[in-house]
Amino acid sequence: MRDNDRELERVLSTHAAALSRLAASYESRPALREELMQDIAFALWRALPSFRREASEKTFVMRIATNRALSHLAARPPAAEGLDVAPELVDAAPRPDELTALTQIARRLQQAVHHLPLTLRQVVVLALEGLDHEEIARVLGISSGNVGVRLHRGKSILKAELGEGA
Amino acid sequence: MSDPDLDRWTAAWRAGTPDAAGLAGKARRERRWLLAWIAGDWVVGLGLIGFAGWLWFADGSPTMRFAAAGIVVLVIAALAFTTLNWRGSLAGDRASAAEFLELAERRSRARLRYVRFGWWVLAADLVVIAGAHGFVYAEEGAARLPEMIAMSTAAILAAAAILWWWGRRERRRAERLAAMRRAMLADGERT
Repeated sequence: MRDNDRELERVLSTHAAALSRLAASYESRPALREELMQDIAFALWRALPSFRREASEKTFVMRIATNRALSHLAARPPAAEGLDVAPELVDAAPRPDELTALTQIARRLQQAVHHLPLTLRQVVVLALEGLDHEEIARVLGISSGNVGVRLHRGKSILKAELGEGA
Repeated sequence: MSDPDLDRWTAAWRAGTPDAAGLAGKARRERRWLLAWIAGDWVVGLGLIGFAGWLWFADGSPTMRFAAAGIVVLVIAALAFTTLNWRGSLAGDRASAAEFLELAERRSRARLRYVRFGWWVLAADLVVIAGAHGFVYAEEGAARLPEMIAMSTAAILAAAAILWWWGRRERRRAERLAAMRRAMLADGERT
């Protein structure tokens, strides 16, 4: 139990930021996002003893987190369009004139990702977290060719939303 | 393999990290809450079994012994369901998302079957309660009937409300899981 706790602490401190971004891409309501994060952390604690290192630790963690997020979506469907708000950033929601260029892009990117259809969002989020096609395929249970197709579609929509043109 | 679009967006994506402090503490809190919940179920269940034992030995009449046996059977069924449901609630987390959705939908449909079974049990209860009321009327007259009917009605309505709420919640969850699974598989084959 103690070893598992220590291992959980280590895994969470390594992947906390990635998990937080993943949770935010599925749930924009702060209280429910908190609940989802708690759910993911608990599921990781349960699953860690069975981790056999057949895949990378990051793939394992992202798989658990993605599945918990899907379960969360099934139980608590997203708020109606228009009520969705962008997740708060670490730097405590600065005023518009204080936003750095990067933070502004981050907000727009988060919103654009959040508006992607679920199947494209899953692939785009995992790609943005640095997983390659094979790893994403293993997390989602689809072929890596399919990952490529979805990633291409997702990126096209993101470019259009971000006004970058095709 | 480098992807210029992803490379460009990754820095911005990481700059927008929501606060993730105290995650391990949250997991510990969740675990404590869950263990307390499970322990609570067992404490209440064992308390009810103790009460059934008292009914069995203290009164000893066939009616009270029948009621005691009914309580024990119901408590064992409820504890078994709680335990199985808890053990299964995190099953499939290590599977791929496509497999996880399939499993989650199957579990949701199984819970819907439990709810339907619950309606049958409630219907059977109605028959038993009507019989008990008839028995009391034949033995003691109508004096206690209004109180008994009021209590039975309240209990039946409460059980029906819970079954209705649970069934609606589970039906919606199963529909959402099915829709997600269809979307997941729509663009291509499973690996």
